[in-house]
Amino acid sequence: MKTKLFALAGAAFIALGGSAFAQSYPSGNIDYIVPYPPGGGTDVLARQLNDQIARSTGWNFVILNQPGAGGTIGMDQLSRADGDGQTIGMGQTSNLAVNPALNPEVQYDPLADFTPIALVNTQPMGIITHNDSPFADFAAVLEAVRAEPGSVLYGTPGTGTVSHMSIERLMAQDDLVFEHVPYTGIAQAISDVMGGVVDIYVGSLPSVMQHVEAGNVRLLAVTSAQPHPLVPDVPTVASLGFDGYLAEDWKAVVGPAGMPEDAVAALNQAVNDALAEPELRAALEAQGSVVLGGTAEEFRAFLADEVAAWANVVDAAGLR
Amino acid sequence: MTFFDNILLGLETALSLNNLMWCFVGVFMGTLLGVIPGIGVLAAISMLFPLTFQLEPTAALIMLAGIWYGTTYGGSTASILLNVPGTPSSAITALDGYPMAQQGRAGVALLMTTFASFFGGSVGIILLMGFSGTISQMALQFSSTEYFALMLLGLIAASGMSNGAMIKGLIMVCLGVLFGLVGSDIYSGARRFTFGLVELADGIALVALALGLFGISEVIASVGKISAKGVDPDAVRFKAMKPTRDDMRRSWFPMLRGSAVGSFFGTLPGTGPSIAAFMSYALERRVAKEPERFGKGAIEGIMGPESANNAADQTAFIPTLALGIPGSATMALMLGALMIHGIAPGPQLMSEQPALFWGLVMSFWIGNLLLLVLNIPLIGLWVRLLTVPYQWLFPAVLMFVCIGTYSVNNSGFDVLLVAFFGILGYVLRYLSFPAAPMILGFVLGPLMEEHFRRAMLLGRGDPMTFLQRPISASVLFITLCLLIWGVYSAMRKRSAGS
Amino acid sequence: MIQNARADIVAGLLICAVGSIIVIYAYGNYPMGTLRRMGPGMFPAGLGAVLSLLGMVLALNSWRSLQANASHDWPPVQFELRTVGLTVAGVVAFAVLLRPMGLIPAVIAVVSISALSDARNKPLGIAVLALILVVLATVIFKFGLGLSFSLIAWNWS
Repeated sequence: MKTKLFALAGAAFIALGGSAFAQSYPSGNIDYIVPYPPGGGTDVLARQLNDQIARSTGWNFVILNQPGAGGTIGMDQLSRADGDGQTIGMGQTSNLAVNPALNPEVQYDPLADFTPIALVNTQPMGIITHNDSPFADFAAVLEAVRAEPGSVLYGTPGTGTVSHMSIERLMAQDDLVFEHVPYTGIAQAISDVMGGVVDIYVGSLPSVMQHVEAGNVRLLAVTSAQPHPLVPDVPTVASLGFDGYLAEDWKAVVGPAGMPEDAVAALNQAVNDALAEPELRAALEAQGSVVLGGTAEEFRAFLADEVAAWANVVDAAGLR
Repeated sequence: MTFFDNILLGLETALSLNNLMWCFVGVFMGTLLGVIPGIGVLAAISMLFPLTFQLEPTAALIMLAGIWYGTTYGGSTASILLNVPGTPSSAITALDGYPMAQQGRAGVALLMTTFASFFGGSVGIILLMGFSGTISQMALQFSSTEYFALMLLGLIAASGMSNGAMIKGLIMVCLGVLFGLVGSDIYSGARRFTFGLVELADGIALVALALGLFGISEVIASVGKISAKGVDPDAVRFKAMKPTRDDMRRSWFPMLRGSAVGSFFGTLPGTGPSIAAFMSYALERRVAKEPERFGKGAIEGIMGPESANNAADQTAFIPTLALGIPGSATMALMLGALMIHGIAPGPQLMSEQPALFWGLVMSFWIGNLLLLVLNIPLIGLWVRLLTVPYQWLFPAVLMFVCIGTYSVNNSGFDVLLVAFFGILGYVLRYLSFPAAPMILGFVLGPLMEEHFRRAMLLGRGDPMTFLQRPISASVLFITLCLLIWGVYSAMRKRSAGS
Repeated sequence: MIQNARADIVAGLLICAVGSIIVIYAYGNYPMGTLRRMGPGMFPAGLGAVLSLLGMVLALNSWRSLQANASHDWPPVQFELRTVGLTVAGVVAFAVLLRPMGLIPAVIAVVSISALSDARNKPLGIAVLALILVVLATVIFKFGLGLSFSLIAWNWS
């Protein structure tokens, strides 16, 4: 069945140019751009969501993985596609809100060049330290940084990631100075934080949870607005005197600008219906996600907030 | 005692008819895909990844693992037959495997490669089962300082691995590092040497560099020179695959040394099989009585690296299982497959899902056996490929190179890069610069910079940090000795020559 | 391949020049940073310096051995300019044509252009070869692996 679906990809690709938007949505296959390689977090989420939608609506999604440049190459392609609703894709904090502010090379405007369809889920960052660390909690970390700026080294999975930007946001909010030690992915970083080479590490909650559960590291704080259901006792950064602080990796379905309203409505409904299915919901929650959903207008407003907030952080940190 | 329980549990899982079948399917498809130039492990697993959604998790992982070593083996096959390697380790295999094929000994090379893979893989598996706790503690001792020292050692060793002057090898290593630096700087995010091209933001694709440097330049150099690649039809019979007594005698020690080298490097996340294969080749050349045979079809030159690279593939699981750290991109992808099935990959995987874990480990062993069985009939088929007249074969090779490269990132730009590196490769070949050190420089260069800068950052800007830590100090000492030795033997050769 | 002192002098000087350009380019375009927190320019600049040093050593060494020995010939191997041109043109044509026109025209282009570089290939043979490879590529990559490119398209944008 899957191979057949893939075989149809070409037909859809050719049809794309000629087909006009008909009364009923969708007319044929929906091309679905995932700006990361197969098997990554975004790809897995897109496939899980689309499988669920396909099951209840009978729509046919053709996933096109277009990796590159932190997801911006795929998003760039999506922004240039026809806005007839036959090409949509999955975006997230980094490629819709952070990167457009950070990289001058990014050609698209996240607000003008996309049609928001629906938020899907969100994951906060978790801040961890090694077991023998002198920091009992995150308040102790903040105290140390205030006493001696630059004394705390923090590892992240990379420059410009939500993990990195989350601490930049903290620094922008209260004139703190942390020393950044970027890694490439989590592997070496976890080994270094366990060995105490860096003082703390910031990574998406699901990626650090396994190490917390194994007892190799301690979780100090999460970066969501509310305590996370998986770890209700761990304080949020916001609760430690940073009002309005939020740094999350959310994922959402978007399309090119100028999509017809009925297509947006149909897609939004389909996403919300899929997210309401207990099976998918449970799977996402088990991965450490908070399921979002909601209307396209809510997403549009949220996206505008996020774009503005991260642009502020980038400016304050002088990162552009 | 738990050791044997684990083996039994693993065998029971891996030998179930269903899993055995998926293992076979994976190995088979992997081999076929791997033979296509440009389709490496990562690309093959990405392409076939969606097929595994419908399977239950153990079968899915076993199939992915099958694709993994099937592709690796297929890659070696293509490198030996046509000199079109897509990865650093198959570039090493091609160094002596391709000359063997040209001498009509392709069958021997392919068969012996399978043995070496099986042998190295087995050593790795035994270490994985018996000593993963100890070894992973050792891996924790390695931080950026040690990694930098090891990579420097690897690059210096690689520069002395070809028959030409060491200085040319060093130059090629540096050029490789330079190409490796293209793309986003991981510390500042600055785009370096990208000249405003977004396609270069993630750097130059490894496949494009490897296929251009080796594959395209090989085609250019061969067009019009060879008719059918000098293969007589007898070479495709099974008898011609049989290694001579001399081949066997020469193979044992390289396989042992290769497995040891591979097992060590495999346990260090991120360095893995490619550096292992290079180190093993450099080592074999150094201990050989007649190093000038290397590069001209020395069987030691394929046995050592092939077993090293497979041992490393296995021991790469050690940090994954003991610490939950994926050792390579491929490993991360396979762990990602678990997520689809709602299993959190991580340090507890072994205790929470023992059947899955040990089933996977044992399926590696069985998969390697299947590879052996599968390839004995296939080798005849592959070698027959060489009887196709070269003027028809090379356009087909170019086509596969193009499509294979494109499919890795769906990028036409990468295909243009292949053309660029094809020209560069031919020019360098014309000027007799060895290409293999460049590919290692390319792979290790960015890692070396990353670790060097991080070590300096963590060492508060004091370069002495490299000498204060015992492991890195001793590795650097060995590196220095190698360099001095290289310079000394070059001078001696010159004074002997004049 | 044959080691040739004269060619090595040229190569060494060329490498030396490339290294120097890298140093200048890195110095001019990227911040150097400090020893503790190195900027993006530090490592490339250092590397460029090492490269030009190595190039210099190669050129000097070869010059000395040229003085010692009397081999004044250029490499006896001919530089196959025509093959380079046609092979590379074929690959480039594939890269350029694949997205806008699809797999079939791209395969025909790479096969027929590159096949011309071997004088033994005649037009009819090339046509047959191209046909076979088009079928092969379509079956393997399109229907077998389901890769996401169209077979034939018209999509120049």
